[in-house]
Amino acid sequence: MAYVELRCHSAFSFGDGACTPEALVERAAAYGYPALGLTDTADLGGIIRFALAAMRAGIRPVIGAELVVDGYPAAFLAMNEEGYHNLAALVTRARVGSSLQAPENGVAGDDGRAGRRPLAARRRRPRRPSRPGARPRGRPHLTWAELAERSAGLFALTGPATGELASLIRARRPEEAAYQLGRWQDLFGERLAIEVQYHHVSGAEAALAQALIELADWSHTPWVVVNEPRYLDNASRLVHDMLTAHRAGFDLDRAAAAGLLLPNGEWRLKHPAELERLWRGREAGLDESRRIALACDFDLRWLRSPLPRFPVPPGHDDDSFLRELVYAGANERWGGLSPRQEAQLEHELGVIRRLGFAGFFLVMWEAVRFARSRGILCQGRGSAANSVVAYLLGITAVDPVEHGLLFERFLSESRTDGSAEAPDIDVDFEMHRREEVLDHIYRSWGREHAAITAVTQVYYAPTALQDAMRALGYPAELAFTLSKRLHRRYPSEGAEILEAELAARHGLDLATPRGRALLTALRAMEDLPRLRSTHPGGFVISSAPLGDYMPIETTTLGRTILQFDKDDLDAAAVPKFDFLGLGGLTAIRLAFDAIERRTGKRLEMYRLPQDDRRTYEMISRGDVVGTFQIESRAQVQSLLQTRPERLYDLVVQVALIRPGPIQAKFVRPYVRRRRGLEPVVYPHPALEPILRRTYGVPIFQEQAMAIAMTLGGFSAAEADAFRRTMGHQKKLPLLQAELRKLRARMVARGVAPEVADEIAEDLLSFANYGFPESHAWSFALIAYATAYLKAHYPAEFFLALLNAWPMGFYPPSTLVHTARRAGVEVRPPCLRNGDWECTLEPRKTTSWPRATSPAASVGRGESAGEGGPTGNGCDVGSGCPAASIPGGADAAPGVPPGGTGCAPGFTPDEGATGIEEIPALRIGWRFIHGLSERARDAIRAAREDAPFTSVADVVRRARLTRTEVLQLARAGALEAFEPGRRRAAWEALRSVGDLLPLAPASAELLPFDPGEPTEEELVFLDYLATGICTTGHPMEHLRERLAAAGVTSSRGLETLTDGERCLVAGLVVARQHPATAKGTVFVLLEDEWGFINVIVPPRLYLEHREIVNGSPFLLVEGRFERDGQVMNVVGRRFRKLIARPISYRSRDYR
Amino acid sequence: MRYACLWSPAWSTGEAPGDELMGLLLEVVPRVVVEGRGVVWADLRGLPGPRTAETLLALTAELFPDDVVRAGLAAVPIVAELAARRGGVGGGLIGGGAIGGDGLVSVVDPGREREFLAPLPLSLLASAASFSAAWSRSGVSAPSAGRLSRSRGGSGVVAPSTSGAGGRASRRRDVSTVAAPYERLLALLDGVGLRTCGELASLELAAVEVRFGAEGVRLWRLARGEDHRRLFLPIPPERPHASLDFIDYQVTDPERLVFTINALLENVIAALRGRGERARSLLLSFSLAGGGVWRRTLRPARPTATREVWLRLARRLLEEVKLPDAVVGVVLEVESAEPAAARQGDLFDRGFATAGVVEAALVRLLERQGEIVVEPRRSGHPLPERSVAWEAVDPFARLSEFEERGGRAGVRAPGTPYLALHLLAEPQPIDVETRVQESGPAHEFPVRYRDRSGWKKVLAASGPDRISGGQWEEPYAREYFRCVTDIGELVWLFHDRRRGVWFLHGWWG
Repeated sequence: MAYVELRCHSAFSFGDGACTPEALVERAAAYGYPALGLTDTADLGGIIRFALAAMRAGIRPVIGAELVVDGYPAAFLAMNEEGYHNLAALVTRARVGSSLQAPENGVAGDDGRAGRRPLAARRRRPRRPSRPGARPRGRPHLTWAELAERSAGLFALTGPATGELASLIRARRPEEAAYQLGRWQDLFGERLAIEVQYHHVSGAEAALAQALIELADWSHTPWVVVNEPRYLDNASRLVHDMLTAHRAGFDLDRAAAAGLLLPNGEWRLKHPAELERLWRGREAGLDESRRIALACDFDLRWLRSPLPRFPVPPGHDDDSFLRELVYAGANERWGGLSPRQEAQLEHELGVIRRLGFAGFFLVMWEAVRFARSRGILCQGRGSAANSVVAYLLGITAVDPVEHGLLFERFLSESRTDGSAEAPDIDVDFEMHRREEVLDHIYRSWGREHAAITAVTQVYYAPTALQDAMRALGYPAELAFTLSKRLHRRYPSEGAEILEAELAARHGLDLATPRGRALLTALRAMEDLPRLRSTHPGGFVISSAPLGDYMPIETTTLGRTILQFDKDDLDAAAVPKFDFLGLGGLTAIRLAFDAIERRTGKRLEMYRLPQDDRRTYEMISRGDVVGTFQIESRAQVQSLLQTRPERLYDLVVQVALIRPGPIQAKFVRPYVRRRRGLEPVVYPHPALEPILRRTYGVPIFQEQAMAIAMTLGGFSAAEADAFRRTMGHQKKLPLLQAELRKLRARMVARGVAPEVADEIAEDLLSFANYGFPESHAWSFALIAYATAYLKAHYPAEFFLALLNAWPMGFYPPSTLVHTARRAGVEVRPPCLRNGDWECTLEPRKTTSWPRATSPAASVGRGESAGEGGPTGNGCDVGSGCPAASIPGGADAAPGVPPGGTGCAPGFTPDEGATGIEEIPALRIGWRFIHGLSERARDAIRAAREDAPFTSVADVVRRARLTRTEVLQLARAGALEAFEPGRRRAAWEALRSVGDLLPLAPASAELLPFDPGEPTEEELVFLDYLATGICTTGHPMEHLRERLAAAGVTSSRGLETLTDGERCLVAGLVVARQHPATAKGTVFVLLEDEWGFINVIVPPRLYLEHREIVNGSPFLLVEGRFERDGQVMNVVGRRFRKLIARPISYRSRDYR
Repeated sequence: MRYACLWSPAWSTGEAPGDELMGLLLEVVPRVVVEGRGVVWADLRGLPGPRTAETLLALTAELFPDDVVRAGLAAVPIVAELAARRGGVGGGLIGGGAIGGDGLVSVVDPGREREFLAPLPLSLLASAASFSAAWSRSGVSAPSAGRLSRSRGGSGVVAPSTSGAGGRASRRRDVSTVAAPYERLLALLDGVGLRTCGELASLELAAVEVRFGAEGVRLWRLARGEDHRRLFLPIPPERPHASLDFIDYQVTDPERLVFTINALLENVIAALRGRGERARSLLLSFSLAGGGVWRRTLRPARPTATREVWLRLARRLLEEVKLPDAVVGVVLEVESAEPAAARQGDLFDRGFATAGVVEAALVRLLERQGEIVVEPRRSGHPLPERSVAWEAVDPFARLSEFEERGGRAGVRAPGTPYLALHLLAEPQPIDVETRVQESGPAHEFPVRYRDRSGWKKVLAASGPDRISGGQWEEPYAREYFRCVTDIGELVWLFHDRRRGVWFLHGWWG
């Protein structure tokens, strides 16, 4: 078989390819191709997957790209390493121009904005190249001079019918074509072939092919047959048509009528025999394809850019400087070295030296040092926490020696063989200040040497359905409606669901050609890359120009990113630096700042007492709303069962509630053993030291490695290789092979066969865990810190959460309700006393108010009297805080049926001296809907000039728009100047100069009473204006009616017995549909006292889906279940609870 | 003018007009409505407005000699009423109408209602509007509580009052009850400085709706002269009918009945045609000798004004039924009718295609088409039959281009060889014999084909040119060949790959 297809396009041609690289390879293997070429359009993003798949299939991968040179497309194939680097450099140049070399991006003279423009600036500026020499996005191109500069090692194909030579021939300018061919020959010499395509389009195409062949013969240039496939079959052709239509903004009908679609199905990957039949008598073009393929070579190692060279002090190299830093760190952290510590340290330093990764550590050390110098909280996570070196450099916070963490889980000498993963050091920085670190990296290394990795977004069922239906001309509303019902499904699953029931339910006829096409397209979009996005923080840094190794392109936001997906880089063993953002760290730092401002005492995350009783009691009660990692509904349920008492319990907790352990059904044995309900047993005595801490249940990857090493006699490197087979279903055959090997080794070492089988079986179940103990340690530290803050400094804690929001599991409204239940007085936004961010204010009262119910304690009507404090906590005219305190101690005892809220007698502040010591929390203006950043700046500036005195003064000096001032009034932010929101609104309108009859003509009081909102109206108005209600809960106002109907509140659940029928109701906070639950849906209801967990069985969910998903307030009839403190209601009937319309967005299926 | 409103200050508190006045006024106007609050409406459609109003006032003065009665004439009820209430006070009248009689007739010309309303105080509008609101809320149009309505020649009160039409006390109560809704609104409007209809009318609807609610919007509409009350229901046209009573004898013979019906039909059909209508159904009623009426409805397949059709239906009916008694009278009445449509002509019908008819048809087409000029444009669709679309062009722009080229067409250089592809209206199925070439691509090429005129040999064929697609609509897959036949024809064949059938699609010429 002579023919080799050299010019495949995959989906990485984004919009001009409809199959994955793997699918191309699979089809090529089935057709018996000996080699296959991939030439995506100015993109190399698919080559790693392509090369890996080709190597697995025994096919020679030919790597190339199609590039536009002086306006004409041509293809270039990498023949060797130099050719690959030139190809990458050309793709980079085509994408970003010469801007990477622009002076602003170098180390010198960088203003710190090289990585990304400041957020505010990004929003205002139009999307256009922001740097000199930058290319416009979406039209990558090169000049001939740029090509000439980097042509070495490349084989050139002259391009399709739109290529330069073909265009000249079509334009009947053969002489000019011959002249240009000479130019190509001069540049590429023997590394050139004239590309000839024939797709049965027309006689003109055949004539063109003939003319090109004649030109080749005349000029003694080889010609080569290529088919340039973009799809595999009719299904993927349909997807290609859709993508083409989308690119033009058309649907398929219009795209077809406009002649945009390929006219036939000849652009598929054809069987070589088909090409041989077509070119019978002209076999030279086929032979040439094979010759070219044999001339091209590729190796994934060519992608690995040299590690960055850290500027070490004179007299040092990387290794010696690292050694010096590490020993200095050891003195600081340990004070001295024990033999065990020293041995581990030397072992790690030796491995690092032999692998040449010292610079890698130094780069990360420098980034962490920079962050700390700016007061940015940061902490290493992931497997890096297994490294003593990382710990002593201050990158991670967990002592691996003390906790027995395995270094080989992070780095082993077997992992740099060219096909294994490179080590990753993941460091979390404060979410809101991560940009500073990224800018620092760009500034330090320059854009030419540092870029962020990409994430390849693939089609999921919702996006696939929407795109396909849009192309097929279905109504967008129908597409949106259907797509909402396919969350987290793959496209093929979506097709099945659509076919089974969804389409019929929504009147979509799948029996029509259009309906059938929809199903076909959905199935063909499985695994198909859809777009490329920026990874949250994975950097690749190189001492050489990075674009020569991995193509770089610009994003719409002005970042420079690699074309490679992070996971693909893992497979190519390219080392990365992960600078991730973590909202939890932001919250902790903000809380520390607030505590320091109030008390003068600066807390430090790693110096918090780790055995604080109050903190563990709070966690054990499940009072964890707002805490890091352990706040979700599932975590709360687990916490109530396991009742953590020490930090390691949190480590386990973080790792336990994950899909892996849940699927493996290890949660229940762990919980029962911890509670003493079943004995702790070990399959083999040698496992006791390994599994003792987790009650005989393997939970961490390190435990699996330790088992392999202890019982199987695996070396550390072998154990790590074994670990790496875990985590993906696709790796199951590899894992099973490793387990067979382990079992054989265990038996050979004297373990009874049945015991070896049992262990292997456990490890097989365990395979999907994917959670290292070191990572769990890192997260547990943060989780504990947040819990400590919540237990001791609730006001500062909730202040920090709200200011760091969006983050975490719960919406701001729930955080505020929880804060109120914890005794924090929450005040609405105020233009006099508040600010853009939430703030703390001193409280005025000296005693805890005795509220009989939340409704009674809300007290807007009680306190907002003439001359008294207003509803927003401000005395009119005085600016003093007021005494409206919600929640209260009486609310606490019954709060958490699910365990959330305060315990009886619990006093939130550290000193336990009374609620009056807890400052009041003032909601910031940032939560007022419709208030722009411009308004924020204007208000702040005007207020800095002089305090506001009236609504008119606010409007006049801050130059607010009518909408902005109305939103302020609606949110209660003007009540300091004008009591009553409606009155304030009228006054605001008058002040803003609104036309009659929008406001009174004079500054006098209104000639009529506008009437203030009732308490109930106020609650819903708060939700509308800010999404946060500081005065009560919507359910309070339904309670009387519900109580009369026999509906039990969350507080009342305590009185129910297991199995009892009950009615519950609440505002839906979250709906969850975990993949591990086999169709069961979990709904979290919130009422004025706390939360109610509702379980919706799969069958009932299908029956009541519209009500369960579409009702903000839900009424559930069901069976009460109790297991210790864990309480659930298993729903049987569901009804929408009729209330006022509420502006609220629950957390659904995320 | 459509409405005349008669109003007297005394009527709202004193004795209000009733049946007696209605009887008088109906001598002049076809319909009259008397409202319980002392407002009298007269239907002026087709009557000279001011003069009729003067007559009405004169008649009214006969019954109420001590009361000052004023008349307002306008096309909008609220405007007519306010014109009557306001009279000549405070400024000139709007429009070309003159003040009739002793200056008690005010006329507002159509289109000038807002101008008239603008200076009027909102309180005046509200006092009239309260009744409008009450009507709107009641969900009925003209006949409503507290109102008397009568048509000339009618059988009495059409919509008797439900609240005691004759009682003075009840009328006063009506007024106080319905005036209340606007009291608070008037206070609000006054508070924000809105006092006249013009000021209110100048606001935006959304602003009014948000701040003053539905009542505010209602008042705003009235202030803009938007009052869509239907004081008088439209008079249904009299349906064509014909009847015959057999005074001296009774009829039992169906044939005689058919004969009678035929005679009656002649009148009915003539009436229908005179109105330009055709009947959907006819009601046939027989008065029976023993008392009672026997009725049947005749319905043809489609509306018609053809006597033969109706007579056939009537005959068939009488053949199928057996009448219960002898007949002493026959009535034939059109139950429902519709306008007769114009005759559908066929330009290729020699009898129809007279020069005049053709000219009229062309004129009509041109009128519909306007100035549109279209030209063919290749769309790019792979299917040849869909590859041409007609696209509108601007003839003036095209003319300008032509003039810019110096009046030359500029399409094709003279003498250029030119073959045009002519497509058949529908691809014609043919039989084809194929053969794989000995050299070159291993495709099957047609070597001869048979169309209606027999077998033709293919000397040379090039192709295949493949087109396929349309999976979402109507999938197609064709292989086209350009063929030269032994008689020199250049034809275009294709093989439908989906059906395995060959077609002749066109030729070059």
